[in-house]
Amino acid sequence: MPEADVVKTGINGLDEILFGGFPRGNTILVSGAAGTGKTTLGVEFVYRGARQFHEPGMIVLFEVAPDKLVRDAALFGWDLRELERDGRLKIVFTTRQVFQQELLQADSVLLAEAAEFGARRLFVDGLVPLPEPNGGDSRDAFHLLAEGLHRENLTAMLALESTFADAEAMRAPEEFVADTILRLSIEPVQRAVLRSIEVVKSRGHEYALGRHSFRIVNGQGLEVYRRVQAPRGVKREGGASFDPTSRVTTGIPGLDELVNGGYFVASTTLVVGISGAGKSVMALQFIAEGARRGERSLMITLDEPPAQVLRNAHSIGIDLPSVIDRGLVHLWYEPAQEFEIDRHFAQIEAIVEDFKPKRAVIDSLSTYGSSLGASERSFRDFFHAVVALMKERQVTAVYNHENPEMLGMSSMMGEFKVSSLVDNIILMNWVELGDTFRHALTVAKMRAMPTRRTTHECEIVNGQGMKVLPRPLVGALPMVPFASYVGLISRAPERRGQVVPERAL
Amino acid sequence: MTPSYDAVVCAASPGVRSDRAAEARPETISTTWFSATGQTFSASCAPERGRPYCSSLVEERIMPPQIGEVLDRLGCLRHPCDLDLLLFFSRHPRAFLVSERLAQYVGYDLPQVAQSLETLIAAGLLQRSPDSTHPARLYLLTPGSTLGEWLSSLLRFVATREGRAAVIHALKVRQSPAPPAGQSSASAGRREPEPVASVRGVPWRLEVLYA
Repeated sequence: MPEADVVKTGINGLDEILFGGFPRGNTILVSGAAGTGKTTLGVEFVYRGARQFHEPGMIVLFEVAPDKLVRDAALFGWDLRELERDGRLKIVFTTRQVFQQELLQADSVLLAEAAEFGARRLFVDGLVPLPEPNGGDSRDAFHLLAEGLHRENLTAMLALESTFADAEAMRAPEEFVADTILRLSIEPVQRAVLRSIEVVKSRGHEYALGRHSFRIVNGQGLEVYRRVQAPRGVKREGGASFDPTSRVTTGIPGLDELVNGGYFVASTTLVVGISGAGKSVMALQFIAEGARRGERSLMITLDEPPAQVLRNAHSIGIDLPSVIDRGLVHLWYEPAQEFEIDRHFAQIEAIVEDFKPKRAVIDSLSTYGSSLGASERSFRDFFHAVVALMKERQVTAVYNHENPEMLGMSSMMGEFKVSSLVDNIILMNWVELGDTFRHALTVAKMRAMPTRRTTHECEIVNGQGMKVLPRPLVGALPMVPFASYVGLISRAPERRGQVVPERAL
Repeated sequence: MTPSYDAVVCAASPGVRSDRAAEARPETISTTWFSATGQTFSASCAPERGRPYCSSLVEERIMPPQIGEVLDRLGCLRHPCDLDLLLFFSRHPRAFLVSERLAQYVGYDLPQVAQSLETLIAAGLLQRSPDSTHPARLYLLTPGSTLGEWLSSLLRFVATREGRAAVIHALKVRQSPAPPAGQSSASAGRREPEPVASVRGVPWRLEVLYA
């Protein structure tokens, strides 16, 4: 669609969902219950139009006094009075009956008022299902209204009051006539609430389906966050690296040898283990190794605030503040309370696109699970989106995941059924020998790389960090063939009684 | 950060500006200025209650003698309906309404509203779209007129319940019949209205301390 035919809203994130904006001249119905943000959306649509796109606008109010609207808009930093003084905005207070009657008039005073200063946008707040003047239905009445607006080539946004919580129940006849329908809602999430916006239909262009989150931010206005599950296009899905030779070193002495010199570029590695097994230490060393090589690294921490992360790094000899100051590391902390996952993902996306890291760590995935529900589809979709983002941006990413089992593991991911999405899996375990728990590391999965899946002892030394200890006996132990055992598949293997020739490695 | 507020109502004598706040806090720095409309403002700041700074902004509102002056300057306001219409249009500067609805909004009968509208239009405070086949008329407040400053001053004053009551009282006093022969003009008719606040307990001065 030519750019001149597109009306950009200028609202943060909304144009992305609309794939650019509304087709010019569309009649846009915004429906939603009280308090869902209809007025703010409409006022911002007109304000941004006048302020950013040189499109004067008119706001029609039925119940809200204009001075209150001006006052409330000031909370977002929108100076409506200034726009009025400059002749870019008119706020008209009227009644629904007068408004409806006016749009049926060929010489409408209201529309003449709009035409007089070249209004291109109109926002009508507080519409209710319209009674047809001659006894017809409200769909006809709305159709007449839409025709009146279309005649003036106005891109009109009409906020329709709805008292229904159920989306289907609130489907008003007006919705069939409108060109575009935006449905705003507030959904309870646990004891919090989440605002969402859905483009139900929009004639004349494509848009991102589904319910997207938004916030109303003081001093700014609406911030819309695209649904995390929404596909981002072919580019991202096809972004994985085809580089069979380059390796991204782990920063853990002894580990690179086990992973054939390092991870593949843009690969996804999951480090799984119980709390205290050394996952965060590994993550810090991965980041520090990147900084040592002059590569930018992003560390997303959900469980520990920055000061604590810096302290932890210091305890293993990593001067994190110094590399942060040098712009090599971006440490981003987001507390896990009341996660808004669309917003969270949008923030990660923005950081990745702005900071352009080569390495990334998320510590830890389990926190998302506890906020979103591990078995929920939203968790898997979120993780899928993060993996796709990192691959597209060629970021080699390590994700920590806390496995609740203290000794041994019966499942790598527990309820988190995302192991198929990752390229590499490293299991961190405790091994009880005598009266001591010792750290054990097993490389369980390496996509497109050979791996022995042997368990290695490692240790964390104060002031130095983690290292994988040499395995002096490796190669000397005999590899006993399956034929020497019974009950392998039933997970209760026993050696057969008869002697079977052993095969050396 | 949202400041906390302590509201202190000082019943100072009319026309006497009190610097009680400054007197109570010797280290207070005070300043006073006058607006173009004759309003007086003062501000002070001082360390207080363990907080580094405390500032107060005092608007010394129009005194009853000044109400008369503002009404004289505006010239046109005669009836409380004139005032309430002005107040309505200050909140709805561009209103597109049928007159019956307008009458409902302000709470006066239709003939009075029609008369008050004519008054405001004649004074240049309000514009109205030309009469046509349309039942509704577009009303536009015109604060940029020569009376704009006095109008702004009045509207700020009547924005409070007490302020509106004081001005309505003043208008009613002005409307009351001429005094019988031999009676002093100071006690009736077009005399300066008596200070309503002293009768009704309206505070002369409202001081808000931002702590």
